[in-house]
Amino acid sequence: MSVTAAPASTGARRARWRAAVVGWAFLAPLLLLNALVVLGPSVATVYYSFTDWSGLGPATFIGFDNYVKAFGDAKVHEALWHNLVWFVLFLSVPMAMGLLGAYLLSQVKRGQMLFRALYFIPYVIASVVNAAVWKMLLSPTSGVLAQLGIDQSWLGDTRTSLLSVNFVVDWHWWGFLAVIFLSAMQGVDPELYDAAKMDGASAWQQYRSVTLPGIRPTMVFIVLMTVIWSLKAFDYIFIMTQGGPAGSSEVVSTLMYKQAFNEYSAGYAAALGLSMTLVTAVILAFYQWMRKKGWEDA
Amino acid sequence: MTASLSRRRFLSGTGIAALGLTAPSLLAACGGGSGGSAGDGTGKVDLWLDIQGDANQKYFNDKVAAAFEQANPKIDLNTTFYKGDDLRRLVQTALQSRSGPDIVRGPSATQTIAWSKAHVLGDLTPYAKKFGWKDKLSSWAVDAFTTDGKLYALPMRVDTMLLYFNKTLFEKQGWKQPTDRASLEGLAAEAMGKGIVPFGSSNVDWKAAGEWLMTVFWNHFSGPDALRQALTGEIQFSDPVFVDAVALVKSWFDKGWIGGGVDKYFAVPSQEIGANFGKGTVAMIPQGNWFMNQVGQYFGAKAKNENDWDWMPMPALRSEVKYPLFEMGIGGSLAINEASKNKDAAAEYLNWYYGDKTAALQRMAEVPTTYNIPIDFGDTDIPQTIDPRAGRVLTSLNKAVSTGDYGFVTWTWWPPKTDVFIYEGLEQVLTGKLTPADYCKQLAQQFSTEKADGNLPQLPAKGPAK
Amino acid sequence: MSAATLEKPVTVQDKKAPARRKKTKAHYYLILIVLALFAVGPLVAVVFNAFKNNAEIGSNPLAPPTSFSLENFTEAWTRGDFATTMRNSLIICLGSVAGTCVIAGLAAFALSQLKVPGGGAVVAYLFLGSALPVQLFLVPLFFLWTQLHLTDNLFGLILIYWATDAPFATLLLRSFLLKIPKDFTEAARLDGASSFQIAWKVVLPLAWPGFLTVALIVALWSWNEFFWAITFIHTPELRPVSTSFLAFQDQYSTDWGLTSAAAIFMLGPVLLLFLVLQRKFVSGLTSGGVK
Repeated sequence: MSVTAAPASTGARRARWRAAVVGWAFLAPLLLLNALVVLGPSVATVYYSFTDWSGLGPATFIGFDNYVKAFGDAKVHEALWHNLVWFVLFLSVPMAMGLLGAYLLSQVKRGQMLFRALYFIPYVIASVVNAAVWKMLLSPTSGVLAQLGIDQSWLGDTRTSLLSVNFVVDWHWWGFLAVIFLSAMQGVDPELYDAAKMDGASAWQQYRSVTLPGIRPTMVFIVLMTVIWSLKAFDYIFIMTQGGPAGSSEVVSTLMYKQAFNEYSAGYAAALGLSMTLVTAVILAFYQWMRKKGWEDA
Repeated sequence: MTASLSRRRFLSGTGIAALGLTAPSLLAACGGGSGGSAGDGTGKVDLWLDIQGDANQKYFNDKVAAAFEQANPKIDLNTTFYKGDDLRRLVQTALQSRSGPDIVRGPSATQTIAWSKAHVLGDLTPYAKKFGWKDKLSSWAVDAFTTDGKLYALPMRVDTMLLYFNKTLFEKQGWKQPTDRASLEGLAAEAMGKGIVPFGSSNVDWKAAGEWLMTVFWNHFSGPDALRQALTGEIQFSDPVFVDAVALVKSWFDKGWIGGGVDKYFAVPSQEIGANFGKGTVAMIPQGNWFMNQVGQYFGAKAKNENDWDWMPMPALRSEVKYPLFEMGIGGSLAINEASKNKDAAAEYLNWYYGDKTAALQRMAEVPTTYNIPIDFGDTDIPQTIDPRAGRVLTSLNKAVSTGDYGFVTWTWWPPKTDVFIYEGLEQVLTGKLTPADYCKQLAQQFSTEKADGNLPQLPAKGPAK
Repeated sequence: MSAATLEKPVTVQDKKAPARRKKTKAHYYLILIVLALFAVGPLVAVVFNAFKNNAEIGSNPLAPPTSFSLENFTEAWTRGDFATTMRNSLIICLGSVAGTCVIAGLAAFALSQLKVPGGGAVVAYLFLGSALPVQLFLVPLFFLWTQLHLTDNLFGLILIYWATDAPFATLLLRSFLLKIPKDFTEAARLDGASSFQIAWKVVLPLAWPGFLTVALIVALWSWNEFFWAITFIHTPELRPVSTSFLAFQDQYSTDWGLTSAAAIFMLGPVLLLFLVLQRKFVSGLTSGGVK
């Protein structure tokens, strides 16, 4: 290391320098691998996004045409709106259920493991299978609700398709959050609870003043990942409705997939994907700004 | 472009970003396409196929791959099976990277054009000459895969649309096979009144199922003459004759005749429709001849009913349209990867597969539709062991070709993006977001754009085809 | 959070009123049971369908089977070639978990316990990197992997899983590690421990639950993952378990009976893993990890 080569540095400066080197050494495997698999190939995609590339063969540079087109594309607008709806639901419903489940689990001893395992099962099953099961359950002719006399084509009606797929995703997701939150809650220092009890705090007060702050880093993390995953939402939608009927459950990633593989507009698809990444970047920047203002203070 | 050269370029350390950026420039550099042969006609030949189901795969391995290897001991045919959607994405991804299987199973004919234009498929013209493929395969099918005098793929399977019906149900109800619009609509209304869905249909498992419907309605309502005029640019797809066909589809949906209504068409899985068809709560299913592979499982002891099925030609929906009339088209293609290092051996396989008429007919007799390659044969050449219902498809198509009473399936004769719009746009029509007229107008626009780019297969000449 | 309002009337700490306390627990259990039914109820259909043939599923998808036939299971096992695919998935799974834990563990330690200049930017990048849709870089990556001869290669696939799972794992682990008081590491550092020693001796034992959670999630992801696997592995002998579903779907329809049986095969090992890890999880905590 070049640390020894620094002649006139003070001990403190050398220590800082050393800490930086050690820190980056710890980060190196992650960053190198990520650069190889994700960043490098994505950079190539930046190039494609400025071309009329069909997905096969040579590409011609067309400047910002794809981006201009994306801005004016009604399909993109509709898909973005669906992403937003998706985000709001995907953030609120599973989070509320997960916190409830985790809290209740943390309060009971008997059967805790059993319940936790049961809640976790939907997350364990591959998306293909879950989607298939729910397709049957939601069938307008033979599904559960159809047999109860409710005549509604959940996935086939343009008004309910997006909500129905989102419901299935929430169903498979909340148990996962419950388990994550539970393990975060178990990581909270028990002494804090003892102290709160000594002060005569009620369970609700304990929950608010000890539990929630204790799991805040985990919660913030989950919220951020939810933003990202909502913008990327793909697999369940693609398996259950493929964005249909008539685009009523289309989100940006399904639109992008179709552009790249069905419509031979890989350049346009790349522009769409990068625009979405840019949107995410803006949201993350906003988060950083909030964090600087002492919001996370972890 | 050899692998070692590009690899050295990768390892020469021009930075991570350059790794990614090398890809497009390499692709561009490779764009030319040599068209020459490669390999010495022996060794391993990779083939990726979308044959699904254990029995079907076993049949291919035993009766096709093994038989070929026995005839050509120096070639090792290495087959890998994929699901249809995955196969297409994978082949496309691999072709872009100048890798992938030696023999490329292309999607519908219309999209193979896009691949050919990107110069990722090898030129088959020299092989066609060497092996005399033009004499062995039906000209109409080969011509569809020829641009500027170059053959870039071989047609894989002959497709047509049939109207399957529950034979037992028809007998029980005393229904006669309809031949025109009036008798078909009368029957549909009667069935509907009895709580039977007249036409089973769903796009849940196959998004593009909408184009099967449009193929049926445009051919049997608008008629092949109008289609030919539109495909050659004499008239537009916005012509009332096409708009009315779309309006007719919509009206049948609105009456609940097709699939039980729009909502259900978008939500009931095909397996459930099949089961209802077997039980007799669905009377008819307009479907491709490939459905013959699956329809059997919904009937008889295994399905716990005592019913049987059959098919009839789709009735004429307008008096000006001929009956019987069969759509003609090609489902998929087989081509050779431009990047293949073993093109000669791959061509040997293609020649073996298409060249032996007796073996080909035997396969057609043993497995309905999967192996229906477009070769010329007489009705008497068909083995007697064939299921009569499958046999009738072969003889009917032969007759249609020889008399000129054939139509056009969308996935063969329409250009790629227009083809996608046919089923994507139909969803908009069915949900009331687009009027039939607007749908046809947009279709016409998309078609003209792609026609101008030259993305059209060559139509067979009018009249009897070969 | 609206869920929290439900807890309002509960007074757990009131030890002087055992009867009342019992009642409140019953209240808890009631909600827990309702949630459990919601979670697994729909999956009963999978179990039912595993015992039915296609015509039976088609005519009544949700009813219990009329006969108890194991045919779907035996057929799914051989057709899906589960003996091979399970072995491959096990290799992929172990490789992915081990690698991701090491890579993410090192990075998360640096980002939470060390003062790394530019650490904030790295965190932001990890979030942003997770936001890139896979469809975006699939083709160039495939090109690169072909050149490096990493396609059709289990290690090539594991490398991809490391790269795609590690950012999430790092961020998750970091959120666990942030809760470890800096005093601990500072004290160790004053005692002359190196960064590695601190990571290994002080932080790792405390981060136990975090690592188990990460291991579990990565195991699940790599076990169920389909998109990368089908794209990068072509030889049938190397295919993972998620591709076994391929055997039961044809172009226009799916065999739900066999798919359901296959789902049960797939679910088995991961569920077992979860149950085993869950025990460790708890004992790791009670043996005084965070104190």
